[in-house]
Amino acid sequence: MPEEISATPASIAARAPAVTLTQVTRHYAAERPVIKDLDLLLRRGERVALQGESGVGKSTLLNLIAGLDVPDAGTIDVAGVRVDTLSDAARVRYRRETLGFVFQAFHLLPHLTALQNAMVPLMLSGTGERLARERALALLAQLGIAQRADARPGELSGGEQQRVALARALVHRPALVLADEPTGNLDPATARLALGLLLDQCARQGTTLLMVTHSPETAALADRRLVLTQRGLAEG
Amino acid sequence: MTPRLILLRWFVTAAWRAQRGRWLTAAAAVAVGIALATAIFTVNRSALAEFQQAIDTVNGEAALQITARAGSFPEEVFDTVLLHADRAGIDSASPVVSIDVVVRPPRQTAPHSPAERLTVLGMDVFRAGATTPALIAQVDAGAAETGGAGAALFADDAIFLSPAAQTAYAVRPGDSISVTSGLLEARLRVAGSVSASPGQRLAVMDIGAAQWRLGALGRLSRIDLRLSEGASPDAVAALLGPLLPASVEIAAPEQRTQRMSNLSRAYRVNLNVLALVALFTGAFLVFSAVALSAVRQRPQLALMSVLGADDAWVRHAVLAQGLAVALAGSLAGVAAGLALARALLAVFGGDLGGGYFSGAQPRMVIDLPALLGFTLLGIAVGCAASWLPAREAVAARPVEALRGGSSETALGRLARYGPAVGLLAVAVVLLNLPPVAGLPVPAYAAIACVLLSSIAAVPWLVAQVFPLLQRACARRDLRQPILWFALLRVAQAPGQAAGVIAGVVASFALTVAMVIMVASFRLAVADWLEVVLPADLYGRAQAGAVEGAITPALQARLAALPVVARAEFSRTVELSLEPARPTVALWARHVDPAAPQARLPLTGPALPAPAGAIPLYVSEGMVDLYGFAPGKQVRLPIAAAPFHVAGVYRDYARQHGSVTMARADYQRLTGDASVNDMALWLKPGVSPEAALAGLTAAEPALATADFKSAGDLRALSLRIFDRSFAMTYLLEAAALVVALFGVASSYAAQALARAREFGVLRHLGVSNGEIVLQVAIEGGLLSTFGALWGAITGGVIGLILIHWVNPQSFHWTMQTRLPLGLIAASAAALAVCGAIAAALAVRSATGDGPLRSLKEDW
Repeated sequence: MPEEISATPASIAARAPAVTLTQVTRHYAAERPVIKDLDLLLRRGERVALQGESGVGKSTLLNLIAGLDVPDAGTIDVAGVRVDTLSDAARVRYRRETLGFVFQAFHLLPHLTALQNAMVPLMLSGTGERLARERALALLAQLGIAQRADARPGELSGGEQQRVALARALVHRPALVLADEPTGNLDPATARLALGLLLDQCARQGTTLLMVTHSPETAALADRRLVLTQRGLAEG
Repeated sequence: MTPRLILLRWFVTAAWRAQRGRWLTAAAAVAVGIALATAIFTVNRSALAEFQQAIDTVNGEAALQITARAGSFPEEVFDTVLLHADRAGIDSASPVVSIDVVVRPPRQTAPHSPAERLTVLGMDVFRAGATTPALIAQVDAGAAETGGAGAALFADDAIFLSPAAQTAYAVRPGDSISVTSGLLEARLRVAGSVSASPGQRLAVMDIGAAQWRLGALGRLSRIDLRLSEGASPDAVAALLGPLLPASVEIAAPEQRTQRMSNLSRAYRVNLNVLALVALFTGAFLVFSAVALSAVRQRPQLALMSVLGADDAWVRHAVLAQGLAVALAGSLAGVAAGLALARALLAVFGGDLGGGYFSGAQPRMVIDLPALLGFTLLGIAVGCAASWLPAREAVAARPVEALRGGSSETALGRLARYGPAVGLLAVAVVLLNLPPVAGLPVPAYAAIACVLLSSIAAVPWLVAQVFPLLQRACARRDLRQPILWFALLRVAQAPGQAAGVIAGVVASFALTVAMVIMVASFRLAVADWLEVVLPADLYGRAQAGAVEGAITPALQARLAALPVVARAEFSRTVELSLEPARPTVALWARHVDPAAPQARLPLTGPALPAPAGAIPLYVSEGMVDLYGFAPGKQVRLPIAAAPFHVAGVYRDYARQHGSVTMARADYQRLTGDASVNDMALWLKPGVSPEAALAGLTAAEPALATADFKSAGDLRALSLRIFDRSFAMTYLLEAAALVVALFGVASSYAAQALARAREFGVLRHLGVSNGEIVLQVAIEGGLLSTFGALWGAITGGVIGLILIHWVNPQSFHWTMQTRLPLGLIAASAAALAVCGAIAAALAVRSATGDGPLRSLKEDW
């Protein structure tokens, strides 16, 4: 489990790789490749913003790292796991133990309370309900939403829902969090608050963050900014 | 088409495209209910029409008929009628003797094939021409004797058979057949034919020949009357009635048709109610199909509201979807019902297991207004099932609805116990109301209320029970995430859960109710048979309605036979107490006044008869139908003296009533010492088979009698019992299949509605198999709950069936027996089937992978 580490540029460069993509290519049917010969290195605890125009393959890249899609060529290594060679069952286990997800539309389970939503990853990893409850509640408290623990998603505001989604993404201390426009559905003030909480929690836990965003302000808060174009990946 | 209608069509078409499978399942469920109702109605309608036609043939143009109140009447009554004919306004009168005989045709296909019963009408050909011309025999030229056709008509061995009878017995004019009436056997010559309705087996003889050869000398069964022009039947009956003896009644033939209709009415109503069960279950599928469709369309409907559509349009947009499903289901159901009716008529004839219409195969009668009625019923069910979703759609605030809204928000409002309690209170009130027109209409309505109350309580109960279960699991620090998900899902979405299992609760409740009722009834019948069949061997003289065939001399010889330890004889006579009601059986038999319960299964204590009064024991039906309550003085058409009702007994063989009196009293009152039934106790070590061989050897006349051991009679009775409930089992099975369809289709729809939820879970590391497992657990938990709650509801409905519907429909009571093992096994099977149905339904829908379900976000 990653421990809390400092996030200065110098310290990041010295850390071990968390995500390594080597010569990854993916194309659909007869179309030209969405991603071609892509290389990527994210270090442990690094918080990276990924930008790019629509259709350049940001979603494909996230899906490949998440094990939701399989590359046609190249290798993907996340926290020491060769994702591209995993079986279906192993990919399920990989997502359960190694990843956290934050969606633009939050995607909380509507019939569960905020606390129960936050408990889901721990329950999936076999943590006892009592301990899962304690840990989820503690994280909700850190995110400033413990008082709404028993509310259902439909009873929460957008900002509150996104904080519950952050708790769900981080509660099991994953090695990597994949976030897709995590503040896209929020007003600027709430967005700043939510983003601060996400970055802060990743730093505390030493969790690597790969965050797709169109917002320059959001990207500016990351440790590093990458831009995906049809020619490939470049530092922003 | 107006723009509003075009928009409606767009919405309905879009809903159809979105969930074709679900709509088809719901339509199929409605179709099953409508098909069963249509088939049962059409078969019964055809059987009644066939019977009506047969009655019309036999009655001819008679405006009035004089019939015996008990068996037959002396032919002197005919003289009385002739004497007063002119004054009373009678144009012509035709005497008829009607005798049921057993036929043994010459070319019987199998040596032990069952004997056939045939009604032989003895008629005066000169008088019958005016009232029943259709029954004038047609002499076959080849079969006529030397005296010509006229002589053949009056020959004492000439019998004329309808075409159907000739075909059935494989005889032609010129052949001979043996018939048995009582213990008399007569060999008769087929001298020609008589016209009858297609399929009707009928025979005609000269009245004198019939009386002589078939043992009815001096007796008549009825006199057909044609009235003078302008004479009114009521006036003639009023004038003639007082001149006739009390042993006959005068009535219009229509009342006899009504009697036949009444005979099977309760059974037909019972079957139709059962058919409605399947329709009722189908209504839940329509409800859940339309409700989920409406939930999916909430944003679009809200958008329409924002754009200016009024509440009526929104309501119609939802109702139209239910209407479309129900219309398709109704039309398919009516077509399938007619096909099923044709098949049932071909296989079972007009009888649906009740034993009321055995015999020829009726032609199918299509009653168009009734078919239209069934179609409208299906449509009404669809509209009723869509009413709540339509109301919810109208009530939804557009701004909230535009954001989507979960189906739980719409259905969660159902989680209230008030309506359930209210419906239960209505049921209690209904149970205190008397039957309507002899039918247990309030009791059936009470059953509907109990069922609706039970279903209305499901969301509330789910909201109470599953959180308890979830908390209990939490206390055990559960480490089974899939079980945890399933419990949370069920506990926190009670409205959707109710939608899934409402059909299960309804159908299993009715199945359990029927299982309890049938088990109680079967055990009661078995117990009853033990009491009413105490002897070892029972014998009955073959058909022959006129006189009891076993004379006192023969009785004495039988009692003295060496194999017989004890013999009891009884006389059964059919009594007509009301022309429009089925006849009542009078049973004159051995009854010990000091201990009547030794032979009669009394429901209460026997009341001592006042000095000089004749004790009469009556079946439960007599109390309900004729008010023959214990202690009352009643009259029967066999004697002027009143009878004292000394006790009430159970009679599961005669739903329309029977009365029992001591044979000595009957003999003293009527002078009739003959009998037609015998009960024989055999000497120790004598088997029924050996006794029967000894009996027929000693008394060859008994060779034609029908003997059965008590064991055979019990087995035969229970076989008939089981056959009569075969249709019931079929309908219950149909309802259960429909309910399981409901579970499967609900989960198939949920798989679509929960695509995002499943997509999120897949992202979070839940495998496809685990999602299927989760849904299987949900389905299993809900089906188990549905089966348990259905069993409890079924227990209540079973009690209503046993203690209200049965006594009011069939006029018999019984004790409640609970076949717990069978119910538990059925519930377990249903729970497993529910889990499998849910898993299968969701398995195919989760195969798309998590990306597609969340594709708009990545």
